[in-house]
Amino acid sequence: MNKKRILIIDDDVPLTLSMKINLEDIGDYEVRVENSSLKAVAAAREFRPDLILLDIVMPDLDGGDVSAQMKSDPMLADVPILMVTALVSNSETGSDDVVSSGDQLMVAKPIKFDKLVHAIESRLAGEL
Amino acid sequence: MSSLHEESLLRSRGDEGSPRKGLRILCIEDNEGDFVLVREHLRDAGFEVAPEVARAASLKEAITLLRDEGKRGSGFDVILLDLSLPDSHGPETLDHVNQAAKDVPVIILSGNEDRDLAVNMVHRGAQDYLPKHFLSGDLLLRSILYALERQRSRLEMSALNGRLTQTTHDLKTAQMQLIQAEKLDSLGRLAAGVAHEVKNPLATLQMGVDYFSRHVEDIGDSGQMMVEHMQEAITNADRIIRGMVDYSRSDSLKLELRNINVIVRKALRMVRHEVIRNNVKVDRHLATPIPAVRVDEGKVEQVLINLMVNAIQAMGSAGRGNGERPLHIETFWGQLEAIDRDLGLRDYDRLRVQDHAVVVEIRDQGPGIPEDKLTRVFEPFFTTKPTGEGTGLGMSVAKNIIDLHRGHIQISNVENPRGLRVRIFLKAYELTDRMKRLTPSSALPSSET
Repeated sequence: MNKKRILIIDDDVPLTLSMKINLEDIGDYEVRVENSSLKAVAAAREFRPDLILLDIVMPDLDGGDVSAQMKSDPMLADVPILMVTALVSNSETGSDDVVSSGDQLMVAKPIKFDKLVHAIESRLAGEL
Repeated sequence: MSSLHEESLLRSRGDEGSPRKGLRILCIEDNEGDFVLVREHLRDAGFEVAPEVARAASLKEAITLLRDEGKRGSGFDVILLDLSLPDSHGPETLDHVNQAAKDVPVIILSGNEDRDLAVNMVHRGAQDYLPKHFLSGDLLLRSILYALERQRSRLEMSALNGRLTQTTHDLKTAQMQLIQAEKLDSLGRLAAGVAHEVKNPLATLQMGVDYFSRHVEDIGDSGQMMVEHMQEAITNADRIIRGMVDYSRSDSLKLELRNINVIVRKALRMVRHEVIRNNVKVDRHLATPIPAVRVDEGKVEQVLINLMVNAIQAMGSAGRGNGERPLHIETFWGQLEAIDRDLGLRDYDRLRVQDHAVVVEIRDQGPGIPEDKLTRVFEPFFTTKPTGEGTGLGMSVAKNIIDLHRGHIQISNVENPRGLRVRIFLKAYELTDRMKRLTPSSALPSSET
């Protein structure tokens, strides 16, 4: 079975590393990390991910800006993006740590690994 | 001698342009002879138009007369009062009369010349104290005209004082709103900042715990127990941080999904008196269907009322003829092409490029705001209104409230027709697929401020 390619864009180095180790550890994913929001689009064009995990609060460009760049790039416009954010409160997330803002869906940090995998799989299946 | 005074006083009664009327004088006097004497003095006093003199022979009769006249709205211009009446005696007589006719000046006519009583009467609100045996036409004329003039000044001053009190009250209210909004805003920013800085490390710890939980065989029983404790610690810390964010938000706004058109209509109802008073025509275009917005209805309604009143007043002071001036209120929605970044508020739920947004637009045909002042309108205490008419806090409060909603407020001068345009952008919620297909083909205009 082909491994799904996941691109993680987040400026937090320890976090991206630990996510990469976990995702690769279960054997279903091939993961690339990009810690600079400015290089996000180039990394995505090169890596051709099946899904992007995108942090929102980053220096230089934030997740919204990066997402807008992806959407306007014909090669990347259809790649599903799962936003990851630290800025949610109890009242805003359901039991699955998924929150909607306007017409976007995002997962909350810190998220338990099995919930993250579930969110990734749902997004890949087009359910989220 | 006093004809100039008299003229100005008669004009001040609001009869300009209409045939001049004589003063209406009520003489409260039980002694028939004294009354006749006063009436004759008044006739000879040299008023340009002869005054109309009515008589009440007792306090009771006087009060009935004053109340009836008051109800009819005609009223007396001045009261001449004898303190010794069959049903009332002394200083209290003045108090009763003052109570029955608050704004009518009273001149005391007294049978004796008592200096102490005279001073006492003036302290109690009488305009003058005239001993009857000194009465003459000249004296009465002068006393009445001065009394009227003083009364007019007093009323003007009390009206000014009323306006001052109202303005002070408005200023205090607005100031409180501003302080409240700013306090909540800083609390929200602080909570967001702390949450971000603490949750990222928590997320890393969570990934570590999850990794070791999958490899219990490598860490042994003690290791597994430590991992469980670590998991508990992460969960607790996360709960506390979320609670903090919750507190800073729930305390400030009661956010609920609402239809903005309903709020716009409510605000319009609240300003309808201003609309009528300023002869303004409301030109309303509310888009349907429209996505929901997540707002504190009361606060957003307050913002809309502030903006509408500003727009209406701007047209009022522009003084453009007598025709009806349109207040343009519009709602629409679409996808954002660009938006200003507020680096202080990098929340996950703030408006971003490509978000769907609902927009309320309020446009007037007033003089607009000079371009060099446009950037300052959101500063506290900045106002373009004349002194005393604006607190300079309305727009500042409006921006704070919209910021708390993670929305965006934009203000610009427009041409054809010339005027000021204010737009409020709020994130769109509950977009149905049908709505998405309906999305206006052109994306929302980019932010200009």
